[in-house]
Amino acid sequence: MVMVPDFFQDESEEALRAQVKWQHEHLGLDDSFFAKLLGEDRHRFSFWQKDADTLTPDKEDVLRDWWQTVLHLLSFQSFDEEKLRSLLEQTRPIGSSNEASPFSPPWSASSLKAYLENRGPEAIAEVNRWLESFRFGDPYAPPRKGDPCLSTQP
Amino acid sequence: MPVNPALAVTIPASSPLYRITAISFHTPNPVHHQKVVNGMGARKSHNGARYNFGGVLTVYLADTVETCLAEKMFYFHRETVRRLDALHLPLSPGVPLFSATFTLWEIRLKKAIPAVCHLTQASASAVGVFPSLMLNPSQDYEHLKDRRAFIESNGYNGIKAPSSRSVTGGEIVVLFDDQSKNVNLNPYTVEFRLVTRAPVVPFSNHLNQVLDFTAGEVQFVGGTPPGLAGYAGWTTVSFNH
Repeated sequence: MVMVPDFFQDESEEALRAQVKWQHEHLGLDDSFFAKLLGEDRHRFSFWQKDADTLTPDKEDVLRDWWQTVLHLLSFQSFDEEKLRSLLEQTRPIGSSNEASPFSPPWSASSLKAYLENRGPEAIAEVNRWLESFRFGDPYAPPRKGDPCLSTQP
Repeated sequence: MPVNPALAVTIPASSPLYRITAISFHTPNPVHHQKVVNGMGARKSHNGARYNFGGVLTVYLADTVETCLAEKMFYFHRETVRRLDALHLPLSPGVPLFSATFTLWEIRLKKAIPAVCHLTQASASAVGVFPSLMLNPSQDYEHLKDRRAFIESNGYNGIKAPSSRSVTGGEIVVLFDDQSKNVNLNPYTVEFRLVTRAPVVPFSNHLNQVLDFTAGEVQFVGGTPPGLAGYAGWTTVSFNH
């Protein structure tokens, strides 16, 4: 039977810390990344990670949302952590085409990691939409009115 | 329009239903397993799925293991092909694996769910559902999303409908409410792989092999649901595409 640790599905503060630690160890996402994602002071985040400070409930919710996206990304990459690391860090090759596609990721001017650091929580939703497009979305449909296009440059 | 007794069926307690998820739902502590049927995947989805608009809580189940496997094989296949289609992009997520491991859940309701709208080819038109779209194996879902909203607004608790992926007449059960407090669940590990057309071998090279678009293979690892025979080794799963 293939199983994952309990903290993968737990939503407690203790589990959030375990999830952040797991991301440190397996995906190379450090306190600097999380501080930028949350718009939080890096030292405060590091203290929170050591259970020596608190985060506001809305910032804990951002961590929960991001963890759900990490689980989707892991599933998308068949739980291959190296593939997910590559996806987080790869940038557009110099001289590559600017042609947009319904499958173009929303971070097309940077890396996924940098996109999350720069755009914060709103980037999480865009990443989720991009992931969903591979399974449920109609890639040939125009975006609905008011929706950002998946291939919009950030 | 109230619930029509001629269309309404009850999904009984204790009878097995099935669902497949990522392995990330399979934790040692069973208290977390209930999330499998809380409907939040659909609630948080932007695009929605066959019987739900985006943002609408929905729990999708299958009536048999075979139906469940056919449904999942279709989506696994679609995702793989879409990723191949996107390989030329500068930020492509890379060549997908052509095999994957999932968790199949055997789900038994604690309490029966009444007033589920049973859509068949004969009955669908009574609630304005086009039978062809109900059975359409493509991903043309807008009509069915709209009809689900209509059906739910008329007081039904769910929909029982043909699985458009099943080649054996299986059905899916689409429930409109969170079932996490109303289930007992048992997890099973199942491996999927895509295959080529005849002569059938595992699909491993997108550069020179051709996928079978109507079948894949699965095998259970570490045990199968009660009463299920024949999946201990790689077994063909046919699906409509």
